Amino acid sequence: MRGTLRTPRILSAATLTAFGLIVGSLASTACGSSGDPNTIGGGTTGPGTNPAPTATGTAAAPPPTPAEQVKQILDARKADYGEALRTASLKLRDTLPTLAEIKTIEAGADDAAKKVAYEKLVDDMIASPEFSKSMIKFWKDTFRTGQVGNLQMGAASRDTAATFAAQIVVEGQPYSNLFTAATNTCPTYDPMANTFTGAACDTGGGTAGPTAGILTDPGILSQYFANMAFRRVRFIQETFACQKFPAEISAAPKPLGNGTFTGAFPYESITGKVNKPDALIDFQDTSAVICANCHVNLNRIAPMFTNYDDTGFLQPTSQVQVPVPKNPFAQRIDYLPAGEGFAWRSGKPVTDIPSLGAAIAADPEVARCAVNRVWNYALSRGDIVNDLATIPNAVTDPLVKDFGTNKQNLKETIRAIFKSEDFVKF
Amino acid sequence: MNRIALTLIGVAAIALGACTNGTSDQLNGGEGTVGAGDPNGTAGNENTTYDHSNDPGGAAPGAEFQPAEPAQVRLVGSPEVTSRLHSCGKMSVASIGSILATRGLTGGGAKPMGAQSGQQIYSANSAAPALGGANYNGRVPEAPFASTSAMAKMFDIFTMASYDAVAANWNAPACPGTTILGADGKFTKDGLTCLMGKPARDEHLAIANDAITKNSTDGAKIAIAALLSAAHTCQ
Repeated sequence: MRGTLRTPRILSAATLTAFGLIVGSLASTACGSSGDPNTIGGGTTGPGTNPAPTATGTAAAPPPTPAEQVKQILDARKADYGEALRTASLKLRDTLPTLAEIKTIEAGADDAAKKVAYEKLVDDMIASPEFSKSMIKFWKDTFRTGQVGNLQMGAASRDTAATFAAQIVVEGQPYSNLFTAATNTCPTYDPMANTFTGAACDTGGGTAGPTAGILTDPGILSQYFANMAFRRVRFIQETFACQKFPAEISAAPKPLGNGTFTGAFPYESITGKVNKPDALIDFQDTSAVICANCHVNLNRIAPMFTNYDDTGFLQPTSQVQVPVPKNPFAQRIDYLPAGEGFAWRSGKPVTDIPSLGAAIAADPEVARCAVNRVWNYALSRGDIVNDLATIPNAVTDPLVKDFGTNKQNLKETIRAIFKSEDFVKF
Repeated sequence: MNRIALTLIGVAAIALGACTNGTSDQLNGGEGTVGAGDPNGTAGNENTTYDHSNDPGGAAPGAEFQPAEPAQVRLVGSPEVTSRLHSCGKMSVASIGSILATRGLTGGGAKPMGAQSGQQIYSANSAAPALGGANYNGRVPEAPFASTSAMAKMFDIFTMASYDAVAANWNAPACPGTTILGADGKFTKDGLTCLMGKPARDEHLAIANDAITKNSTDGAKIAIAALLSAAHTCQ
């Protein structure tokens, strides 16, 4: 009987191994990692790619590399200048092309002729008054700020920031002016005449202060008014650096409390219970989250914005509160110990809002962010931060380089993107 | 056999266990105590000073930095590919209004008693929020992608706008001299091109005319509503 049992037992061991492998394979497939049909290098190729080589072929070609697969997918697209014209017109003018414009493209004898006609129409669109309106709308959506209803007595217009940004684009000014311009940063726009008219920002009942592009725009400062001015800093970070906090990651993260400290400034360089036992807010807390990961940067910018009130006007004293009992107004010591200075980034110290604007304008990531935002707008990819529509550097590197050599003229970047191969192919 | 079965279950359990990402959706430390080191805990407590939102786009508190990996990486393809492809952006509220205005769809056609025109539906106060319009006071930009309500509202608008397009006096400012229906009662290619904002193909013409053949009363309106809705699903 033992003999008769032994064979099945051996078979069972082999079967067990096979079943184990199969079950493991099925389970790992369920994870959706390897073998994902849409993942480059996955088990199944994407659209426009060659079928995977079969095991039976004696001279099967090696599977394409990820780079080759990317090229195959992208090469499968076809230029469609009629479709591109419709999309470009909706983006650049908020309207469909006219029948005459559509026929101009159709009349092209071949793709080369259609391309010439299309690019001429893109130039016309960018030169049109409707482009100014589209840019104002683009910046309103980017800033999430716009005047709703009539302007109330004592309030600042929430249109001026978007109008100023649109003016910079339409007039081909350097994008850096958005952060460094010292005059006429609250312009008005006349849609009938398609003209921007520069104007100083309203100071309301406040005091005169520095001007640094939209950083001191009262509409923006009012829109993002909040405790300790952190919302204003978050707006700057996410809108112009295209990433959430933490803004910087140390090359040498270190375990701390219940997490890991990743800040690029020293952990002790901000206010907290470690260096100020009576701190109103313990930015050195590590029991739930490592506050300092974000606040080593946040706390070096926010104090510069504390004196702007809820209407965005500058006042002699702090106007933002600390979210603790009795809601005291925030003071510099609530953010930073004595002797610690302000900074945009590690190694980029600043002293006030104008120098902050200069540091932002000089940051290459800010330039890349501007280009990437326009890219996402053109290709309908959503917001780079909120929709996680990030872009590999390789995609926009040429545009970013041109942006730098072109005196940060964002209008030319827009023109280049709408004429790019990626835009006209579907 | 029991041992075999148990072993099989064990192997499967180990393999399946590898699928879990180890995260916890629970606040306050999940299964552990508050502040007990759950790297994904997002709330403070009476001993901490500030609560943070459980923002899915933010870095997990306490976790070492990892570049964000959008879901589209797994679902659609590599970032290199997807960032070079057009996505399906929502038609802006303003552009829908522009379509109605430039394509002669402003309510001039005869429609059923009591029915609203496409223009009236678009102009109603309730339209812009349904279409994903901006709410700047709430720091909300115009939605980049269409919601179900936006698609339904657009379909309502385009369906009723079809009454205008088939009217004898239809006149599109952006397409002067063009008619949608020819003397033979069939669609013209230029007319469809005008409505779609891009060159109409023979297939568009054939399908639209087929609708007239099958329903001489409402076929043209049905075809126009379908063409407008399909053509303007995305920007």
